[in-house]
Amino acid sequence: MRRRDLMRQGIAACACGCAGSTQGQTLPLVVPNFTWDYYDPSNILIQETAYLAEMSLDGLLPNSNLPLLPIAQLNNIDWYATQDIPSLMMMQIDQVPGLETELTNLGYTIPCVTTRYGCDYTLTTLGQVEGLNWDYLYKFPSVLNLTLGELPSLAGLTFAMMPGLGTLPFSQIFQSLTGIPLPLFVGLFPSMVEVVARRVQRGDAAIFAIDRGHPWHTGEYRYLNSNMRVKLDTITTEVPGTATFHLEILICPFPGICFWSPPLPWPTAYEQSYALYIPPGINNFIPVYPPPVVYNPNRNIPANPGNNPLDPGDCSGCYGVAMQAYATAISQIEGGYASVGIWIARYRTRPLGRYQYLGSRSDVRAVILQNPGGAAFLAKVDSGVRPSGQEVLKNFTPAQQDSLFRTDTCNNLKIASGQIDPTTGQPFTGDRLIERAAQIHFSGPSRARIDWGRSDDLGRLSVYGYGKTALANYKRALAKLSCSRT
Amino acid sequence: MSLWLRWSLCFALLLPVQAQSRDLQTQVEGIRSVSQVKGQLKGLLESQKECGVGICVDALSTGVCDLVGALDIRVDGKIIGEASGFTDKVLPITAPDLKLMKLIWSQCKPTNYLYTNYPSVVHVGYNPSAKAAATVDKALKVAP
Repeated sequence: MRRRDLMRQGIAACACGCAGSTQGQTLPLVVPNFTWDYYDPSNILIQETAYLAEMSLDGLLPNSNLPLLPIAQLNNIDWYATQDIPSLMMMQIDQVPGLETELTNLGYTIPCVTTRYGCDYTLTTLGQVEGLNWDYLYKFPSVLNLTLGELPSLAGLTFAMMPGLGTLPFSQIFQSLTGIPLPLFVGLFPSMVEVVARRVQRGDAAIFAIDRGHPWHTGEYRYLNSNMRVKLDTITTEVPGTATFHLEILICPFPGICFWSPPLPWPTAYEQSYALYIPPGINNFIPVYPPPVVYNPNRNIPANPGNNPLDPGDCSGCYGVAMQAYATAISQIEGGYASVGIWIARYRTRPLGRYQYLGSRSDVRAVILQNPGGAAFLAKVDSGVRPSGQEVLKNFTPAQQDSLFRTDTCNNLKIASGQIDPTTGQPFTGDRLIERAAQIHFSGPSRARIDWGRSDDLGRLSVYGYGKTALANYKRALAKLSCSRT
Repeated sequence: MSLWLRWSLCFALLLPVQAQSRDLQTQVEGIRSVSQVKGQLKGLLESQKECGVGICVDALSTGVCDLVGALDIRVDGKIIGEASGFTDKVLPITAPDLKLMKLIWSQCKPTNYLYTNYPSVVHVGYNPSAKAAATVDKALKVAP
């Protein structure tokens, strides 16, 4: 779909009249320096981009195979209750081939609709089957085989209203709709700039804007053309996130003498309610970006622990522990990818990143040293100077943090599984295995500290309490993954 | 440490017993001697050396300050010096131990780090200077 088509549909809404837009000027476009190491844009979800999330599905109908897309092929579908598929409950049972048999086999009583010819089961709707609302879709292959086009009232639905569509990665939407792999960054959404807040637990781990799928950090410019540029000044941490910008215009009073104007007003943006139009430049030129990271369509196939970054929906793990859920559980206690902990003078280091690994750890240092500038970064950390979140992200990238965590966790689980649970006299298993692995993350593998602090002098936060908190977080996170229901 | 924080910390310690958690009350009443506290402090500081993550350091640091704060109640406010008369049985404390405890307390610094794990934003943690850490470690015979 071409950009102008999207604009016609209001997807690429131009905020506040696009005062800075000067598409068509012949001056060469200045390609800004984009940073790429913070976040994998291919994993941004539809529901995180407001204009797409609220986009009516029927807007895509003429140009896609959307009506032919079986529900079962929505890669990211959460196996929500049947009632969560809008209008599904309005369907008559006989409109879904095979459903009547499935319902009967599962023990449902199908109420009949009384007609003058007697009791007619074929007129019964799904909504009239008692208890069906709360059952999960995976129980009904017949429903999963329905195509989106077969659902009543498809027109008017939005991405956000359809489980599985809203949670589809932004970069994969057209692949899913058309079956043709089509990268996001070749001009499909050349004008999208969204304010997206990535939050971890109750705090704000990292806030940034997305320009055409690429991170736009505070302090960076985006060029409307060679004469006009917009700078992202601040993004606040409350919910919703708010981004402030200013505009600068290149003023050339005399030939060869140019300067940027003082800051000029630019509309404030609010998370998930704003898009900033940046024109593609002459001849529809779009800056060349690095190739996007290819989304892994086999995300439910166990990945090789220790090698792959964590991926939303990834059910792989070690010792039966789903790594994605476990990482979420720990990060809810620790921090976000850009988190910088306090200076610990005693050990001359700081905790860094999502899992707050100490910068003095040999494995952390080895990873950081792999990056250009890593040695300088470590020297900075060791000296007590507080690095910025951006520096952490650059020198201890999210992928590296996740990879290290995965390796570390697998090792912790291995250690824990070899220790004896004092409450049972048997090796740690199940929930207790998770608790113990978290305890090891907290305070090391010493057997002497198993369940330490259950009733003694560690203050409010004990080894024992940490394990309990991590387990509770894990269960909550796991409930959101498809693997918890299969 | 700022004055308001010192006051708020002291106020927290001065809360009526029935307003405090049973665990905290048990912790204070469980202190039988200064040497017992010194042993616990040694254990906390040795454990901290094995920490691999920030929360471990933070929790154990908080534990150090909690212990010294609790001991202060049992020695009738001699360490912090803000309040007295909140314990039925005052424990004796030697001058060197008092000096040591005052040094540790002076290195208890306010932080909002990992606030999500605490019932309030600010808490205190033992985050000593290198010099103070060396002195405390030596006095408590903390294993290197």
